[in-house]
Formats: sequence, C-alpha cells, structure tokens
Amino acid sequence: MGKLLPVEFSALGVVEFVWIALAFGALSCVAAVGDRRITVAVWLGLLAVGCGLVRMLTLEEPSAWNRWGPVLFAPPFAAGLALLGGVGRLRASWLAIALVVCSFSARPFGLHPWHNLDAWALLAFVGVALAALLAGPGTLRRNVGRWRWPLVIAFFVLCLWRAPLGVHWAYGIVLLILLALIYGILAQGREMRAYVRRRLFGAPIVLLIIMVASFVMIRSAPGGPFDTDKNTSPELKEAQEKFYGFDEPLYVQFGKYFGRLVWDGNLGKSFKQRGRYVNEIIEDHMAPSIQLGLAATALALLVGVTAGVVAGIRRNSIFDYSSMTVAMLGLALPTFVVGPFLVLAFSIKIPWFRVAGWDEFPRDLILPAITLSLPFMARVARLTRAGMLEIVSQDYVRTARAKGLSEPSIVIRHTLKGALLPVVSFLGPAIAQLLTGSLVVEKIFQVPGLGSEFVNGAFNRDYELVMGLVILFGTLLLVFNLIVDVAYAFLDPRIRHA
Amino acid sequence: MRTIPALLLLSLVVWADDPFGSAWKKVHEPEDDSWKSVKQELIFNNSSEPETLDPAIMTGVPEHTLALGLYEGLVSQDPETLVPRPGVASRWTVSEDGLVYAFKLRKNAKWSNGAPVTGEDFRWSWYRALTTIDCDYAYLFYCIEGAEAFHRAFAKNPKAKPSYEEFQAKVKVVAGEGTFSVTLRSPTSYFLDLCAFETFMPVHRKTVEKHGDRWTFGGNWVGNGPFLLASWERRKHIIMTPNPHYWDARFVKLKKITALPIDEKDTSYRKFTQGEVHWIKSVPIAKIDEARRKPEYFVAPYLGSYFYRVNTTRKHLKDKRVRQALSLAINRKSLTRDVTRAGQIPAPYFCPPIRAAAFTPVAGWSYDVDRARALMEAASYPNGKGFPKLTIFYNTDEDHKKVAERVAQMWRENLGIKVALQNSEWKVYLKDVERLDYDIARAGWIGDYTDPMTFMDMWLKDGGNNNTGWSSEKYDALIRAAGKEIDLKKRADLFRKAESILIEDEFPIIPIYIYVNQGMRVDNLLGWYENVRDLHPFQYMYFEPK
Repeated sequence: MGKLLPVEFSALGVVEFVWIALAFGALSCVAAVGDRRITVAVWLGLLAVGCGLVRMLTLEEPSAWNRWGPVLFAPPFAAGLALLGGVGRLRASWLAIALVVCSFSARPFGLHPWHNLDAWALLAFVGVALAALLAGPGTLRRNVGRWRWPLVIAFFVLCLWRAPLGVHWAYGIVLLILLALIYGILAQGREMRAYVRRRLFGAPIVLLIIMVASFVMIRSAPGGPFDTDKNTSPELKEAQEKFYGFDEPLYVQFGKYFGRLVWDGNLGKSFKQRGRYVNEIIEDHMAPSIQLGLAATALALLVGVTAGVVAGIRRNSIFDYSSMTVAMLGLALPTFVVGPFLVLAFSIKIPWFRVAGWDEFPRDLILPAITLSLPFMARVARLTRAGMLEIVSQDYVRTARAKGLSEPSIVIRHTLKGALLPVVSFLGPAIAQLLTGSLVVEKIFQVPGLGSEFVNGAFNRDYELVMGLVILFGTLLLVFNLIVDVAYAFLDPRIRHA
Repeated sequence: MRTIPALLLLSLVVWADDPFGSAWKKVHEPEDDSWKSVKQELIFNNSSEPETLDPAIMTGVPEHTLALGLYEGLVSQDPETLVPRPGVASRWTVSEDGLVYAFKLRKNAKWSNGAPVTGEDFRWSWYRALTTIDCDYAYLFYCIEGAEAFHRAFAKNPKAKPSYEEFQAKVKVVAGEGTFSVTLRSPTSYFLDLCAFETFMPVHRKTVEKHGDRWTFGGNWVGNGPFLLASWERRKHIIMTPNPHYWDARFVKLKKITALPIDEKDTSYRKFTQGEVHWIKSVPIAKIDEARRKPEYFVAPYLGSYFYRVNTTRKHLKDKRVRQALSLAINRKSLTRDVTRAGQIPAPYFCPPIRAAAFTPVAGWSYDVDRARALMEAASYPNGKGFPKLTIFYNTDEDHKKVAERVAQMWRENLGIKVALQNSEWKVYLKDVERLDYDIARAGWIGDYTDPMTFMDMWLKDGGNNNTGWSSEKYDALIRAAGKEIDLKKRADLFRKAESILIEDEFPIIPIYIYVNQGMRVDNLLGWYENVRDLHPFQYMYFEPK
C-alpha cells in the first residue's frame, strides 16, 4: 500500500489541480440540491471503492493508477456533491448508476495518467448530466441558477487556455454541446423527457445490432490481419491466427469481445499498430477530428445560414443568384479538387499557410476547415434559402409585419426559427460525419484524424480497430440524431406541445 | 620503377578496404569544419506511419529506415556500397567451411541508458524474435543451426512459449565475454548482411520485459543506435536526437532528425518544393517531368522486381508455349518509357544484378512478336483463336492499372487474344492469389537481403510465396545446391541456371521491370548515397554550407 500514488502524480502542476477542482465543482453544482446528502455520499464512496476493488482483482495489466483511480477520485467527488448541496430530487439510484458507468468507462482512458484525470472529469460530468436528465424537470435550471454562465465560461476558458491544440478544448466544446442538449431537454416538458428516455434506452439495442452486423461483416471479408506478401510459411500464419483466437467459432469470439468491452470498456488492441489499444488510438486521433469537424461546422453554419437568409429575403437579386451559384459550385466541386487548389493559392502562390501539417494552431486548421466545410456550407445555404422562402409568405410573418415590427426582428425572431428546420434535420448526420473525419481532407492536409484510421483499418483487416470505430461512429450518430430531435422541438412549438 | 607506384596503390587500396580499419569511415567524413556553421537538422518524409519501432516485428521500408537510426546490429552496412562494416562487433572471422561466424564485440558499445551492449543481449533478442508470434521474418533465422526446428515447434503451439534455456540448448548461438559466435546449418554467404538486418538487431531485455509490447512507446524506449527516440507523435512526426552513449557518438553530426509520415505523394512533393522538408522518397508520376529538371531529383535502381504471376493450373495456361508467348509479346521498353516513366529498367529477367553476390541475371527473352505468334500457333491457338478470355488481376492502384492496361493492349494486338482487367483491394488480392483464383496476377518483390536467394527461393515447390501452381525438381535442386555452395562464382552460376529455367523456359512468371528509387534531396545534404537497398544510415549524413 506504500505506493498508492504513481510517480506521475507528483508532476501534476497547479494548473491541473485548479482545472480538476473547477471541473468537479461544476459537476457538483450541476447535480447538487436537497437533502439526503450524507447517505448518498457514503453510498457513492462505497460504490467507488467497490468498483476499484473489482477492477484491481480483474485487470490484466494493472498499474497503480488504474487500480486506485476510482478509489482516489470518487470519494472527494461524492463529498463535493454532498457538500455543495446534496442531491435533492436527483434520484440517488440514477446517480449511482451513472457513477458505475463512469468508473467503468474511464478504464479505456486509464493508460495515460495525465489524460486520465481529464477523462475522469469528462466522464463523470457526462454521467451526472445523464442522471440529471433522467431525474426530473427543472433540476438543472433551479440548481445551477445564476452560477451557470460563470461556470460555463470558466470551464471553456480553462479548456481553451490549457492546451492550444490539445485534447482539452475540443472536449470542452463537446461538453458544452451536451450541456446545451440537456438544458434543452429539461426545458421541454414531460412528453419530451419520456421520448428522450425511450430513445436513450433504445440506443444500446441499436448499437448492439450495429456491432453484431459489423463484427460478422468484417470477419467474413476475404483476407485477415496476418495475410502479407512476405515469405511467411502457412504454418506461421496459422499459428498467428490460433494465438489471437481466430480459430474459435464466431459467436465465441464475439462473446469474448463483447464481454471485455462491457466489463472493462476495453476495445482491444490494434493488429496493425502494434501494442496500441484501440481506445488509445481513438483518444489520440479524435481530438484533431473534433477540432476540424467543429471548425468546419461552425464555418458552414455561419456562412451558409447568412447567405441563405439574405438570398431568401432578397429573392432574385444579384446576391441571391451569385450566392446560389457559389453554393452550387461548392456542392459540385469535390474536396480533392478544392483542397489542392487552396494549397496552391494560399500556401504556394501566397505563402500564408503551410502546405500540410498539424502543429500550429490555428494556422494549420484554416485551410482544411474551409475545404471540409464547403459542401456543407453550400447545402446549408440552399436549405436556409428554401426555408426562408416558405416562411416569409406565412400568415404569422405578415402579422408581425402588420404590427410594425422592425425587419431584423421579424427575420431573427419569427422567420429564422421556422426556416432553420430543414437545416437542423440535415445537421444531425452532417455533424456526425464532420466529426468522424474525412479521409480526403486528412490526406491532403496531413491531419492525424480518425477518418484515415477507419479506412486503413478496414483495408488492413484490423478487426479490433474497425469495430471500435464503428461503435464510436454509431454512438455519435445516435447522439446527434437525438440532439436534432430535441432542437426540433425547441424550434417548432407544435412538436413541443403535441 | 613502374611497379612500385602500382604496388603502393594496391596496398593503399587493400588498406582502405580493410573492413575492420577506420579508413573506410574517413571517406565519409567532412573535409573541413565548415559544416559546423550550418544547422544540422534533417526533416524528411518517411512516406508512412511506422507500424512499430520494435526491430523484431517490423517488416516495412519506413520502419527499416528508422531502425537504422535507433538500433545497431552486430554488423552495419557501408552507406554507399552496402558491404558489411563493423557495428556492435568490431571484427569477426568466418571458418573455412563458412559455417562458424565468430564476432568480437566492442567494449564501449552501450544502450541509450548507459548499460553495455553484450553478446547476451543479442542472444536473448534472437530468442525473443523466434518466440514472438508477430515476427514475420523469423524464417531468416532458419540458416542458424537448430533455429528452424525450434521455431516450428513454437509455431505448432504458439501459446506455450519455449524457454530461453531450451533456446540455448537447441540453437547454436554462443555468447561469451565480449564474444559472440553463431554456427550455421549450411554456408550462407549473406549471413553478415542478415546481421545488419532489423530482425537481427538487439533489444534491451529489461525494457522489453518490463513494458511488453509497449516498450517502444513514450519514455519506455531504449536502443543502441546512433540516435535516440526523442518523441513519437502518431501521424505527426517522429523525432530522433543523437544518442550520447553511442560508441561512436563523436562521428554523428546531425543534431535532430524529424521523420514525417506523409503518404500522399502530391502533398509530399509540395512540401519539398516549398522547402519544408529536405528529402522525400517518391515523386508523383504527374510531376516527374518537372522534377527531372531539378538538380535535387535522384533516381537509382532498386533491389526489387515487378512481374506477373501466371496461374499454371489453369487449363489454357498449362502449356508453357502459351506462357512463353505471353512474355515475348510484351514490349517492356515502351512500357517503362511511356507508362511507368520514372526510369524503371525494362527487364526480361527476374532477379536484378547483385554485385555483392557476383550475380548478373540471364539475358531473358526480349520482345519478339513473330516468335510469340508462332508459339501460340504451335499451342493450337493461331491468332489467338479458341483462346479463352484472359484476366489480369491486380491490387487496386492507379499505377498498376496503367501497366495492366498497356500489357492487355499488347497482348490483344500481338496475339489476338481477349484480355480483361480485374482489381481488388490488397487483402482480397492476397487471398485470391494464394488460392490460385486468377489467370495472371500482378506482383512485386523487394529483396530482404542483398542476395539472389531472396528472389529465387520463392519459386521452390514449398516456397511460402510461390502461388503459381508451378514447381520443378530441377529448379529446386539447383537452388538447394546454391544454398550450400561457398564459392561465390559457382553459386552465381547455379542461380543463373535456375533463373534460366524460370524465364527462358517455363515462365511461371513474366518479369516486367526492375524498380527504381526516386525522390528529391536537397543538394547540401552529404553523407547520403543512392544504393540498391535504399538504405540511408543517418550517422553519416550532414549538411554542408550552401
């Protein structure tokens, strides 16, 4: 018991501590209300210690950190919760479930002690947020109260400041989106919550179907991870397959895979990238994908919606024609043409940016983000314009005009909400697609994102890597579709009160 | 009077060529100190992300390139001529029958953590390679007495790893105090070459045992090469810095090496032209004409062969006259001039010339349409009549497609037969070729070591990579005889006879061209040489003032 804390712990700087403390503080505030605080705190502490013990006994490659992480962090977390206000109407059982989920899903990140803390905070946050969502109406609003904006801003600033092109601000933004989502859902009323709950419970089943299907498909594709053009003997190949358990029946293999995933959150090791865990690959290459994806989404929305609105209001004007022509071009030109063209123009002829690479921020982000966003931008512009055209002729807009409202007020408060509906339904899958990376853009600009991992994984028959990414992409798609549904209800009162 | 200078010259040559002296290394030293005024930082494109930095399991060229900086075998290779040079071993002797290699290890060879590199390190590393399931190159150890049986026993039951003691008892490798000796089962003239190869490089036992398959990650890594692994950011870069414990650290001139993993040839080329990298290992075909005009462009023959496999179990390809005709009907010169365009060497032979083994390939049959037609007629397919449609199968790649299209066109025009193309992604292609589910399949082979054996043993009856359905007792006997022959000349003759069966008679394969290395390199990077293996040891490189 002498070496509870690994060496790395002492290397943690003050910044790390402040950051963690703030994150935990934020978490606690989000969840905190009411009484029964002591009971729940004890409950949680016990649970966490239990998790830690189970993990300690079952891990194949335990390090002090992996073993004691939950034990070390859960009690202060729980105590923080209790001290900052207790749990009130949050059902203790939900919170407990959330924490168990957290402590198990933190395992995949348990390889780097430093990232571990961030991952912990992140996962705990998500867990508590989930619990809050499932607990009851108004919880979030009531509890966080006037603290919410300072907290959000502090969190965001810290994430941003911590590491310019590191993992953190990307995760920070994802967290903010989730926060907005939960806030949105909570504000919607009982039916909406029931609907979301149904969807959340349905999601694991959908994921399971996806998993089984892709597990069978990838393994039935000809060739395997050990086929090479090297002069290896058939015996050695057979031995390799035996060693990795490919000689077992498919359902046994899947059972083992699934068991390990659920029990340990472990997606396995890549066959091609020797010694690397799939969790680790995702962790390393997710950040660039998220950064690029979010930048592209923001750009697409900003330019697309603006152009669409203006084109919709000034129908048949020069602006309308020119912006729609540009949008048409954006749709028609493939990224492998636009990318090199931008490089030629802005790296070679006018040397503002580097030709390729991913080291300097935000310099290296700009060209790939523009390239990636262009087709989406064009779609958004066209959809917004179409939406605008439909809405401007509605009676309630005419009423607003008759009331003598100013033009900006009509556009922003009355027209835009309705006009954006088609854009929103397009955005769900689009954002999932943007976040999971684009092979072409990644190749042209040498962005170390997830898109290439997926494609190369499939080519190399890197079963574990492909499965891991399928699960990740499936989850993202489910989440974003859910977000779209919630946003729909927010934009369209008819759905909210139906 | 005239003999004296000649003798002097001769003795000078002998002296300079003494493999254990220091003169050969002097040749690669800068003439003066002017290089010290230049920033000695190299950035190059390694063309892809290495799968691993563990020398025992690496198989690819990008991995090998880096291994030359991170590790050093018993033997190293001359950066220019590739002849064996001292590595961790300062000298060695070979017994007269060519079976026993005795190495004397230098005392000052050290790991990057300061621990000495010993014979024991090598013995354990070789044991580890032979008992690591992911070691695809384990068969290279088979030339050592006892290694094949040991490895086969392991492969039979891979989950039960044989012990180190068992290895010591069964495999004839002896590690003594500052000495290391190996007994081979038959003379293997390229054994020193193997000793410089990555699979034979040493790994640090304690590090490997402590960190398992993650010993090359993060701060875990320990190596014995001229450079250290300073950082490895996946798909961004690998940075190497000089290893202060390297036994010849004073000779190392580069202060920092950055290896980029850019697999997109166009991006790589743009990076070079923008001056962001100093050395790239390929030029996109579309840019070759532009690149050729620049002084930085380099092109040199490579120890690799591009060829087509013929499925000799197919009914219409069983007749060797048909296979002969197919080979004769390919105009290789026009193919390399108009299609591949990077200076590839049109080759009606299979194995490239290898000076180290005194090997020159047989002439092969060059382009001869009339003879090809006559052969088809003799095989009762006059003007291709009655000949079933032939399919050329290749792994999906724009360049392979262009070659296949041209070859198909030549066969259609010259032989009057119907030819189709079919492509598959890499793994499907490998599987189909292995299952003999093809007519004609595109293939390429890069030599693992500088010897014809790496090319010729593929076509043995039980060659793991034969995949043509063809075999010949005569061929197998010749290759086996060559494996035992010590005399280089006689050995080369045996290989030539065997190659003659392959490409002047039986044609289970149709050779097309010999690969080249091409790329761009800044002018003032010295100590970098073109060679057939595309090997570029970093310790010789330095920048000169422009």
